[in-house]
Formats: sequence, structure tokens, C-alpha cells
Amino acid sequence: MSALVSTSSLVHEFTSHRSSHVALDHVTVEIEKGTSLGVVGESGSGKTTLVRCILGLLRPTGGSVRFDGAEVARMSTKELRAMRRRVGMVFQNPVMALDPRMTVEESIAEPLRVHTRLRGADLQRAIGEALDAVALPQAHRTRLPHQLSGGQCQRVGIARALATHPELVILDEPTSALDVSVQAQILNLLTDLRVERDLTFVMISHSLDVVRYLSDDVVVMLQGRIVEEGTAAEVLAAPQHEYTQNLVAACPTVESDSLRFALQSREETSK
Amino acid sequence: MAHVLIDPPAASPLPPTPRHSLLRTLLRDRLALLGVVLVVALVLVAILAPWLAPYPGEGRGTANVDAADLAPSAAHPFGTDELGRDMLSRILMGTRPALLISISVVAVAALIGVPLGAIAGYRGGWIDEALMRVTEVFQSFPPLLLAMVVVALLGPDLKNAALALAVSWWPWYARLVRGEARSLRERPFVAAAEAIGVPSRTILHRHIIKNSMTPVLVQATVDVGTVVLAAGSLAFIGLGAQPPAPDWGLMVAEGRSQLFTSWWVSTFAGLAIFVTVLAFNLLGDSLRDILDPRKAER
Repeated sequence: MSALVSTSSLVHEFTSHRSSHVALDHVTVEIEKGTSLGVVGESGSGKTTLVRCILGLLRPTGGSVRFDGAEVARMSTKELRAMRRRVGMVFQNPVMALDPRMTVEESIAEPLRVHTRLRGADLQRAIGEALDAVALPQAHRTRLPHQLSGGQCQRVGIARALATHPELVILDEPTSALDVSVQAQILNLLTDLRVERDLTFVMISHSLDVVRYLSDDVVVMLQGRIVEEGTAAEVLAAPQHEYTQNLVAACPTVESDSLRFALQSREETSK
Repeated sequence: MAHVLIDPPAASPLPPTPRHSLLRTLLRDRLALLGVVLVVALVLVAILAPWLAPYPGEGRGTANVDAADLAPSAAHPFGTDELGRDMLSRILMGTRPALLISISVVAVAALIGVPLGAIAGYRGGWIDEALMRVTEVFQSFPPLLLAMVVVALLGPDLKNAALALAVSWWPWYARLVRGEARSLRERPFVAAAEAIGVPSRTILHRHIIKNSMTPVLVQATVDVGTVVLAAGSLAFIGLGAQPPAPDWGLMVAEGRSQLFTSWWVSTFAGLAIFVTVLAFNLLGDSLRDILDPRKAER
């Protein structure tokens, strides 16, 4: 086992004319291949900045990000593109993350066109496989995002993220914009895909239940700093930091109950 | 319950094709229908004018002084001008140049303005600043004044008038698209494309420009009418088409001195301009509704 992604003392500071804001304050994380890390924190805690630094979309002010041993900040445009082929990203708002004028197949074709030489019939076959992987009927190929439900759009988003067979998948609150019953479907799908394809997950979330279900490890962020880290089970069962304790205590039980019910019923049917 | 939760989403019946909805929108909205009918009629007249005009030769400018200043009658429904030319033929023959000039002006303005606006809005920063200052310089002159400068430099004819109009029109497209691009840039699907690694040139044309086409098409359609009016204005003050060309603005100018004796010369030419502006305005308004992908289904 080696770290697929690691950051060490990562600092990112947003500066405007006069003020500056430290979004990441010496953040060090190691993500082993095949593991799933949950990143928990309120909005503005630096979760998204962390992810954007890992993807190379933001240049860190200090510290380093390594992807499979290579320093992201020193990568050439070509190397960055090669890296992005190995990283898929799933977004929070599934409908908004799809171009309203592009059909399902065009959206899924986009990463394939950028990162592979597949064209024509080969490209169509790859799109078909991506749709199969997320259990969307082939008839949906020519639909536009507004003709699909939120859950279906998120399936398209996952199909797009996985189309190039990445190793790392970054999930930015993948279920927070969905109905609870659909949340369970998407979580189940993600779990299945993770096992099937031996994926590494980094998931941003503020729902502790989703983290509990999908993550092995968890880091809790507050104002750009990691205030607590450990295995998901440990941290959620016995939170040490005051902020995490409040978070666990404030977790709405209604949502967690219905989510647990949905997940249990899945286990029953699969027996 | 459990099955409901885990069944993959079933294929729902396919939504109606866009063609259906276009027809339905037109039938429901009388004004939109009127706009389409008028524009189609104008285009047909533009193409078929030499065969539709009772006196195509007079329409092109051949004088027939024996029949000068005749009031509207069965032989000359719109009367004749002071050189005896049949006004109906003049107006019909004037349709093609009017539309051609107007469409090319709008096309050139959009071809310059759309890419510049998209780059400015998407890139932001100093590129945006620089491009927007340039458009402001162009916009700070009234279009007709700018056109007069260009025509004064290059000499009065229809081509120069068209060039002048395109030069004063493109900044409006640049600003329109820049605004669209700035809001599109913040949309998650653009962030998604960036995260995928799509090159920014591809993002510009595939996501930014394509998604700002609705307001551009609407604006362009309305502008085809507006440019007919502007080109007419230039011809009216002698800076556009030159006699004996069949130009509506020119006809209004020619009839101006005899407005009290031969009212029909200016009136029917003016009406032709009016109908054209109205037709493209109505069409532009209905396009706004039809081109919205979220409204397309209803």
C-alpha cells in the first residue's frame, strides 16, 4: 500500500486587494490506494479548496500535493491532463453540473474525447459501458439534463466521472442535493462501484451518516485546519474535539433513520 | 418499498420532439405566428422580386418620365415617383438589398462581438478590462455618427455604409455575450469541464458560446430589422445607397420634397421599412420562448 494522494503542510491563502484569507492552514493528509477518506466541515472550512488543490486547479501558497509520488504544482500542462484522466469528480448539484444543452451521451463523451483516442463506434461503446455501470437505460443517451430526475442526473455525473476508468474519485457532497430515498440509491451505487473497480474515494460531506457509510477514514476541518482525524468509526463514536462533538450531537436523527432504513432494506433484498 | 428504493430508474416515455413544440408555440401565440409569416413573406419577396414586380426594369431604376407622379391606381397600386417609376416595383426590388445588407451587418457584428465577449467574460482579469474598454470607445459614439465618419473616410456607397454599421454594432454583441459568459463561468458545469481537464478553448466554444446563443439569436433577429432602419437612415441623409438603387431609405428621401403632392412615394417606402422592423421584432420575441431548452417541452 502506498499513498495515492498526499499533502504535506498544504497552505492556501486567498488574497484580494487588502485582506487575505487562509483557506488551508498546514493541512497534511495521506490517502492510501483503495481507501475512502471523508472530509467533514462546515462551508468555508477549506474542504473545496483542498480538493481544488489536489486536482491542480488551484496553486497552493505553500506546502505540497503529491499524486502518485509526483508533485502536482510542478506538473506540465500535459502531465496535469494525464493526472486528471486518473481522477474523476462527482459534483454536489447533479443537474447544474451538466451542460443544459448537452445530451447524456455528449456529457459522458467529454472526458473520453479529452483523455482517450476513442472515436466513432469505440466511443459509443465506451459511453454504453459507462451507462451500464450506473444502471441507466441506453434510451437515456439522447436526453437532456432537464428531462431527467436529480438521481438520474447524478448517475450521469458518476458515469462521466468513471468513464475514463480513474483510480481516484473525488465526491463533492454527492448526495446532499437529492431526496433521501435517492440518496440511498446513489450511496449504494458508489459503494458497489468502489468495490468493483478498487477505487480510492475522497468525499466531501457535512452529513456524518454519509461519511459513516462510505468512508474508512475521516478528517474534520475547521477554519482551514484539520482538528480531528482517524477512522470513521472511531471519530464518530468517540469524537475528541469540541467541534466534532457538536457536529455528532447535532446530527439529525430523522435523516439518519430513513437512510439506515434504506440501506438495510437493500441488504435484505440482496440476500 | 425496498424494491422501489433500489430499482434502477425506468425509462419514462420520450418527451415530444422540438419540432412539435415549435409548431404548437406558433399556433398558440398569434403574434409569433404573424412574425414568422411576415419574415417568410419578406424572404420570398427578396428572392422572387424580379418575377413579382410588374415593372422590374423600373424597379431597378429605369426612368419613364411620361408616367411621372401618378397617384395609386390599378396599373400602379403604389403610384409612381417623379421619374415615373412604379413604386410597387421599386419597393419589391428593394427588399433583397435591404435584407442582404442587414443580415450581413448583423452576421459580421456577431462574428466579431461573440468571440471577443466570450473571451472577455470567461477569462476575466486584464483581458476583460482591455476588451471592454475597447468596446466602450466604440459605444461612446452614436452609431449613426460613427457610420458618418466611416462613410466620410471611404466615400458614400452601400458597402461602406454596411461596414460602418458593422463597426458600430459589434460592441453590443460583445457586451451581451460577456455578461452571459460571466454568469456561465460560475456555473457548476463549467467547473466540471475544468476538473475533467477540457482545454479552455474547447470550454469557450462548447460550453460558453453555445449556452449564450439564445440571447444572441434573439438580439440578432431583432437587429436585422433595426439595421434595415439604420441603413435606411444613412441612405436618407445621402450616406448609404446611391440613386438609382432601389433602396427604401433613399425612396423616403426622394419623396420627401413632394410629400404634399405625391404622398405615396415616401409613405409606401416607409411602410416597407416599418413592416420589416416589426416582422423581425415579433420573430425575435417568439424565438426567445422557443429557444429556451427548459420551455421547449411545454
